[in-house]
Amino acid sequence: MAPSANIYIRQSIPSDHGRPPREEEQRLRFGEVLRQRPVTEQVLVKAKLALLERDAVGEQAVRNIHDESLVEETLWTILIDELLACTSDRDIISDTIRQVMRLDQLSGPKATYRPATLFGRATTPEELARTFKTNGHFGSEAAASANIRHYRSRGLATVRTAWRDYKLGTYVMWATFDAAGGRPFEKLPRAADALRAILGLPKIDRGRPLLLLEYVLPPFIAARIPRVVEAYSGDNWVHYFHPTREEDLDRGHGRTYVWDEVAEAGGTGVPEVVHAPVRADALAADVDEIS
Amino acid sequence: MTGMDTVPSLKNTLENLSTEQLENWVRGRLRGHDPIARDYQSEPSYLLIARMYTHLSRNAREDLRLAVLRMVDEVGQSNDEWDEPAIISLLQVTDPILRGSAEHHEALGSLVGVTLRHRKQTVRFAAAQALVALGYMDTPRFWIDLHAREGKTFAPVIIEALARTSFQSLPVWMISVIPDDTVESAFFGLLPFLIELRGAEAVAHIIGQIDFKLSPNGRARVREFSDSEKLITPTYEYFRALPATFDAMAQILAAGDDLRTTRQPLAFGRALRRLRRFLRRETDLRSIPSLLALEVWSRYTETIAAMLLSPLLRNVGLAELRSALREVGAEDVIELFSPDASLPLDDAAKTSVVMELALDPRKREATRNLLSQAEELARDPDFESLQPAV
Repeated sequence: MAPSANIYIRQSIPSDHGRPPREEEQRLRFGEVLRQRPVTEQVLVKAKLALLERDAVGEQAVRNIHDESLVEETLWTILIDELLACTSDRDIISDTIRQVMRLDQLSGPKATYRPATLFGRATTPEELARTFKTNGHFGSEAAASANIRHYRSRGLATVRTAWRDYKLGTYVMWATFDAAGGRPFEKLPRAADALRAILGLPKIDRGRPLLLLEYVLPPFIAARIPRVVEAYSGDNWVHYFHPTREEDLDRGHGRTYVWDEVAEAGGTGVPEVVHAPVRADALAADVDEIS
Repeated sequence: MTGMDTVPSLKNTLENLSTEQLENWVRGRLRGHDPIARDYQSEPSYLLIARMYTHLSRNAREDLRLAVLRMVDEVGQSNDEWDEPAIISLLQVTDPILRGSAEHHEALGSLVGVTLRHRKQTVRFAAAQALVALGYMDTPRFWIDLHAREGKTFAPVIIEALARTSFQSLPVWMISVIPDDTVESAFFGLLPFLIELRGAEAVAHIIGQIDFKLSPNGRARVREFSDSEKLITPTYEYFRALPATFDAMAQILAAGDDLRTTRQPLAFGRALRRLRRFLRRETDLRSIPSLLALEVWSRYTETIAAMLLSPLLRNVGLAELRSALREVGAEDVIELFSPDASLPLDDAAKTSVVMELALDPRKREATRNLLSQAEELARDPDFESLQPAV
């Protein structure tokens, strides 16, 4: 059965008006909030979530929801209510999670980073073209790709001017940075697939070149620590994601979830944050391309 | 699990599915549920389908194309089982899967229906993008009406569609809607594509035609692009020193000179002098656009003239135009303005566009003001000394 076209989330995150700042909101794990419910509800919610565990991404999503420590109790309460209300259909359950997560997107704890930090986003030219097209700047990927081919090797000033109206991502941008204050890709491999493995980028793009975009966040956009909220609010759930561990929380950032082969070789990720999409006039270095 | 292991394995799995199973896989995938390609759950639906399509056998590719066609047909019939994200994912796969295929035209009717009638603008926009990507051929009127209904956010689609299907209509439409930051930004972004599609010379010509109507910012961006690409635009170089209002009038005439503007500067100079005589001789403002239109008409090919006259014609009533044409014994030209004229389809379509513009009463007042200013300029003694910078 197809997911409902009109999943209606009946609740909303209460307004901040008259409440303590969100940073001080009580944060409980999903399981702690669920245990406050009657046993029958607990069983029902667990049974519905178990339906997601038939594939790797769903299984990991359920595990991550339980492991997440940066989500407010209010959101978990809404999620539990909506899971209880929705039908026991895998697609509807995942869409319910998606819709609830969208209520709280990009409102997690602010990341810790220095002023004028250079953030980095690695993307294929095709994906950037799709982003430009999805954001409504072009009629086709062919036209967007022609624009990117034309400008990607031009100097920073030209690119910033030419792309100044274009956002570099849609909905949520995932980015890396060097906590020591250097350039984001400076200490990372110059081979596209090796970089993909460390950043946890889609494996399906293996063998394709990567464009490296370095930018400074404008003052009105804050980088935040990634949470399940950002990982599971998109139409496609992020596979390479794990809730931020305590040691990284203390440092004030998340960490990329490396490919299995990197993890097996003892490799770890690099600092990771999420933020609202920025326009290309935030670019701070020439667009680099690696293959 | 590694991607390298999985792609061949997934290809093998998909090729062993029946036609119905393959269709069910695409349906599930587009709706965020994929029990087959579990290791690729996190990849965007359209991306995995598009990538796998290139790996599949000929038979499986055909099955997949037909499955996409059936789904597009369902969406075109307003099937409620399709929610917004799934429709948009489906529309996104039409480009890589159907483009260039023999069957792609079968999707166009449904896509037109979605573009015109779906309740969500995001879906209508994505459907319009799919039409553009699949090379949908319609009259410029279709795209111009779409812009009128949907607003400037559709500008990138409209510009690209006109560039692909009726390139000569693009400047006509642009002139009618600029200055406008959104439209100009879309045009600027498309310049590299337009050069790949039509060549630098054709793009330079369009820039020359629309330059006078661009906003200051838009003009600066486009000129910077022209300079960096060493595009020689045919008109604006001549007019940089002229007053803006006369610039506007004269560029319409200059643009009508096609590329002869750059190749035959003396002929251009003569055209300019003729324009000046018109402006000096005519005191009835209403007759100026008609006579100027006739002048351009008499000099240039019908198609180009029909398009380039639109800035004038849109401000002139049909009756006025007919009257002016009769005065100079050019009644036969009237036939070209008739909707049932037996012109080739493309020319008839363009003429139809011009006609629509000509009958738009909202724009008449603005151009009469422009003409009034132009007349004052024509009486200015300094005007005599203005010569093209040849």
